[in-house]
Amino acid sequence: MKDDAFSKLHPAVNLLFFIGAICFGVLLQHPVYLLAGIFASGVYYFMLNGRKGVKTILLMIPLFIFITLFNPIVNTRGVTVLFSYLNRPYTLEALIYGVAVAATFVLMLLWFGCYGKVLTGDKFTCLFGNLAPSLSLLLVMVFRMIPNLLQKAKQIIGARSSIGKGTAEKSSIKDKLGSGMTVIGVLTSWALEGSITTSDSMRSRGYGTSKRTSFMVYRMTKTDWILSFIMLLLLGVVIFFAANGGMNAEFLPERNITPINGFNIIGFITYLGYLLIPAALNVKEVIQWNISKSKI
Amino acid sequence: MEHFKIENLTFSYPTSKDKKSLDNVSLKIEKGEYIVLCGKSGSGKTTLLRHLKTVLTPHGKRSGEIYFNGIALKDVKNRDESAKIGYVMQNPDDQIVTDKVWHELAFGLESLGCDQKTMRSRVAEMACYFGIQDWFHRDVAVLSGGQKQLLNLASIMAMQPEVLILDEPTSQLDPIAASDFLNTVRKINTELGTTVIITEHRLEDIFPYADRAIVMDSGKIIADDTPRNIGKLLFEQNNPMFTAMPTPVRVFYNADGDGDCPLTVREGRAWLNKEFEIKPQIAEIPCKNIDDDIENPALSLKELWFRYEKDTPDILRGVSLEIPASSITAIVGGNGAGKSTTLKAICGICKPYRGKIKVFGKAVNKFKSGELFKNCVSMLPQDPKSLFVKSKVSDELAEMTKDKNKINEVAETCQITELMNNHPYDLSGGEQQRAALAKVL
Repeated sequence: MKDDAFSKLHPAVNLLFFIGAICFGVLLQHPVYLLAGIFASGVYYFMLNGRKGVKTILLMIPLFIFITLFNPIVNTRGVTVLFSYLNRPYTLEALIYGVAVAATFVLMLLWFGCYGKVLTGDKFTCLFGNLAPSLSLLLVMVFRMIPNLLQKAKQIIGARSSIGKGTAEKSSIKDKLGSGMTVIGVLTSWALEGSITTSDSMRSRGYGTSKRTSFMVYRMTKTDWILSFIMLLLLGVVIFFAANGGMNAEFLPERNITPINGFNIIGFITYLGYLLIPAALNVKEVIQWNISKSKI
Repeated sequence: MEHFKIENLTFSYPTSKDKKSLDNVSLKIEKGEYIVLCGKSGSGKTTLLRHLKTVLTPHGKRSGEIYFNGIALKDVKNRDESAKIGYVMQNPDDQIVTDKVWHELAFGLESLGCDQKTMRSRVAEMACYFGIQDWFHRDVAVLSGGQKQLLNLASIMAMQPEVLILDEPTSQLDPIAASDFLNTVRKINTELGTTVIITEHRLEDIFPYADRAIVMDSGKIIADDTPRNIGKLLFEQNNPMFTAMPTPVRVFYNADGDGDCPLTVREGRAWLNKEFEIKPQIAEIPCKNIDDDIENPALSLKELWFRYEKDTPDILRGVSLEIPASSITAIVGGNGAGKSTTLKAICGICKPYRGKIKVFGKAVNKFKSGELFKNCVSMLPQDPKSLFVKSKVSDELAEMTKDKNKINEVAETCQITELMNNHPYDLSGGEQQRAALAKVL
């Protein structure tokens, strides 16, 4: 989905959300909370990537199973032995712990997938531009250089194959290596040549004459402030319940998972609510649009 | 007071000991003037322009003085100079520093350390003035060459310079983008009152609007006059630069015209109508009828269909073409019409998903690797630099064939015999094209 409502917010709000989601994703090992994390990240990942996203999410299943089954092989702690092999026990507790590890791993992957889509390079450098202007400029230049070099490499390969100097599918590895080296050679001298112009252009626009400032293309709006406030509030509630032991879960050597009761279910709902903020924003936008459409 | 004053400037590069790149150049430039600097390649235009900005000034032996607003240029503060003198270079791509359009617009202002409020209003102003708002949030990588060069100009104009120096800004743009760009430069000059100093090959587009034209040859200023009078000077001197003048100027002097010289096509037409009352008959150029059926075509394309990616629109849609042996055929069309794609398909770089390509009656995919390009098909790419892999032009040619006689013959045809020992990147644009052509041949 291209017009994701959450991505349109100020990058600082985006960053705050992901810091919260990812930190608690790692810290909270309670199965119910892990489930909430996987659910929320999966929904948002699907919203961001559409049909392509489903494929990635489905790929997580074998990964999940693999990590789950693999954990008891390296980790032999636990009191309930399911079976033994080569004099090593395969325990139920380690298996359950494997589920938790796998779940953490999967939700991490999904959150970082969303992070990459929402907080693009330019937003990130924009956030830290004022803290470290030179470093952020360096990052920006690298972001620009990579696609540039790839495009040039393609152009060179095309040009060389159109004069019969390219590599065919059947040519030997030695030929392919040789031809690749030539392309890299050309690319390097081309890039060096270009960098002279770039540095001229930078200096002629006053680079290094005064202390650099950083242009913020994003502005904190009222919505941004309100949302940040809500997020911090929800995070506070989650931390309160976590501190009171409502989310404790131990797996090894014995299972000791705090049951969800009438009291600490509030913590769970708060956590789920927090994680669903981006998805909720999208849903809200669709509903709003449909209402205003029906009014026309 | 003059905006720029150059006094007896002489300069030579350290590598060429006796040859002076600039020879006793003196020049005065008023505020708000639009000045065209022309001359053959290697006549010292770029060297002169680079002297007008301290950070770009080349190393070498120099004498003479340059004043900016009455102060010696070397005494002007670096920060002031960056803001007040804008310099646009040839290559649209390499001048861009950042990855986003909005960031590039703000780059100069960031370097000068402006605060958010100023930056915001200046960036918005420039985006609007140059019509950038539609692609303000885009990646720089997806822009066309014309858009990139416009962005470079806008980014410099955001610093509100007093002088704008442009060094062949349109040499890598297509004609339509170039004309757009030059119109914008003119707009800046007339509306904002910025002094413009430009070197340019496409004189037709700027000659009518320039205040002064300055012609340089081997480091000297040989003519400095209004565009209307400069043609006469050059014609009388029998200067080769005369052939670069706009068509109306050339026609006027070659026909021994009297009075004011026409500069635009419109003025030229008016002058022709006044001068020749009997309308000249336009001789019809005999046009060879091209037969639909060519026997044994050198190249035949049948119903080619091609697209770059699965969900992008078709670039080639049923292209059919037959080209007879030993003929020259030109493919014309606007930007993105599929000209280069057709050529790439012939060379097998793009594989069409439908249709057939035959070279000398043999399907392209039946050629073994490399065989197609031996005495059969060759393609000269748009950017000659993508062909150069060695550090000498002669080595470039030797990569293609070992036959020395052949190399000399080709070098002769392409007039690059004197350049054989140079590094390909040191050649000028035109020389690079010729060297690349020689390599392909």
